[in-house]
Amino acid sequence: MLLELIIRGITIGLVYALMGVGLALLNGVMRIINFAHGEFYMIGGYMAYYAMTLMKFPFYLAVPTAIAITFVIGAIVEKLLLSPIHTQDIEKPMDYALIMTFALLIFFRQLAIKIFGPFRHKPPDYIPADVHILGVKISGNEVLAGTVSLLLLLGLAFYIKRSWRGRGWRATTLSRKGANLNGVNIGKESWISCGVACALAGAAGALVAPIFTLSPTIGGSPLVKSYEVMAIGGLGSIGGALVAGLMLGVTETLGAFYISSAYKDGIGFLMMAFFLLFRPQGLFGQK
Amino acid sequence: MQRSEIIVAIIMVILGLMAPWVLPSVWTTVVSIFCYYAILTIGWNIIFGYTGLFSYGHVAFPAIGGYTSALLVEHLGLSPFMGLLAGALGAGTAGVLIGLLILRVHGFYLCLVTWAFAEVVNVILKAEHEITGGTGGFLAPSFVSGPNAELFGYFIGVGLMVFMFIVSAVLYHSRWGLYLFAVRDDIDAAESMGVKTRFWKVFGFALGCAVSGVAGAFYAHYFNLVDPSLGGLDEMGKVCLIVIIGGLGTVFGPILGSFFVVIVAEFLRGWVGGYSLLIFATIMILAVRFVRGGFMQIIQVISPHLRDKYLALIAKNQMEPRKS
Repeated sequence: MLLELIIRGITIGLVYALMGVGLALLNGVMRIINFAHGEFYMIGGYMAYYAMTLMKFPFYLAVPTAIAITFVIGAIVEKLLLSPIHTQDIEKPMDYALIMTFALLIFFRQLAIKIFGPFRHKPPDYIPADVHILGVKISGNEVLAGTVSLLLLLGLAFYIKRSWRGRGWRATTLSRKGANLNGVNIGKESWISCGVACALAGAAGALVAPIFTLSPTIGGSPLVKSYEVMAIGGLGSIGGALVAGLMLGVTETLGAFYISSAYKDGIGFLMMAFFLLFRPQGLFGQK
Repeated sequence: MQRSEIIVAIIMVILGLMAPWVLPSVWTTVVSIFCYYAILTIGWNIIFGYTGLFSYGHVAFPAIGGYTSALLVEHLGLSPFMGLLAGALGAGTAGVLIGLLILRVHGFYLCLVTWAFAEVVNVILKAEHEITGGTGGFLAPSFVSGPNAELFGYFIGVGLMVFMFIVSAVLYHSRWGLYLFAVRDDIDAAESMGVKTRFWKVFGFALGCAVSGVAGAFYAHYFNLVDPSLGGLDEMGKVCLIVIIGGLGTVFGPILGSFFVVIVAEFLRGWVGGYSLLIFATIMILAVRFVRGGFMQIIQVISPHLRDKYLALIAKNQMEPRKS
């Protein structure tokens, strides 16, 4: 039982980490709080659903389709709505961005209710068979979600570490002005990183869609989890986000089973508040 | 208080007394909701607009105030009027504790810590369903029993709103208010001038929380129900919207914003039907995208002549000697 809980916690933790990394990237490069992050998760899930049911795509095409569409939506949102807030020199960019993304949250949610309908949908299973790991039976969907999340995280970490664009993002995170002086095109990098962040959320949503069913209001809980992951792991640290996601996933699963399932959501918040107050640089950050 | 504020307070009292006899009876409920949001946002305006602490968990405090008052009145047999005071004290105490905790954090982190606090409060309220009634809510007794209970509650709401408006106006023009503004505008300069910044931060935070605790207690006894949705994230968005629309850090801001968001929205409800939230969000997006300056910028876009008049009015108001 314990082993099963831990494996389940690790799977869900990897998905949390994927969401949290997107948010950390967005916060690092653009310096804004994105409250609409969970809605891209919802959109990703629906896109995968429609790709599989309407277009009859197999799952290995449906998930990339969802990722591509959320990338485009994220980039458009940044270009049209967010870029004027953080490029122009206005007094309180964070507050305006917060209100803007909060409005986007309501907007996407209401639009989803009007377009997709308020009912729950469930996409067909990606891998219908069960997998046995260490004598524990786990559904193929969860294994797929965990593996692909891990691969995406490693791929992103490698990209940010090695490519020129990744270096540009890291430089922008350290100092906007300095990066700009050294030839980083902030406007361009902003929409690309916003698209990537939203695509990561879309990927998470598409991957877990067959496990948790889809409805227009599912964006709330992953949004909260991604903030917890970002706060625990430290802003802009991918390794920290990975460990924080795993920690959160396992603690929550164990806590829900052994303490009380009603307090499941409280555990993450308490961890977040503790880290913010007593270790604001996150798990691996330096002062 | 300045003359304009006294006039507005008197107008609010007169309109509030007249409303139940002039308007259809459903409007007493709408105006009571307006009073609730006005008191709540006056509290947030003191925290964010005056003191400059971006608290994103403000809605936890009306929930605390509401539950404190409802539980005490139900179990200890307190009068609901004492319940209002108890709600203020409960929320104020929580505000002092959280205010002391958040001295350590700034900006973005402060936003997340307060949000985490609000969510923890919400989780506890839902989980301890033997005490709080869980998601279904807790039934609270009303202010007075009898046929006129609703009208009576309405007058209490208007009275509380005017009282809180006067408190925030007096604070705005007082020495204490100046300390809060100093903390908001430049904390280092304030510290070097001998302002006890740590004390005033906690004071501003706790005062705003206590004001919202009264709002929660009023809500509980007027609608006879407190439920955890009082402390939800959607409510927080509404609070932000009200203060931003009305004008951040101004005395009239919360009243003006609540008027638009509650009463004007109620007028428009019949036309837009199920699309109201979608339209609301679209307006919010467009407002932040194009007219970040608020009403001032709208005036500027529409007519340069009006803008000059408006500026002259502001200059005249500022030159008048302060009466506090």
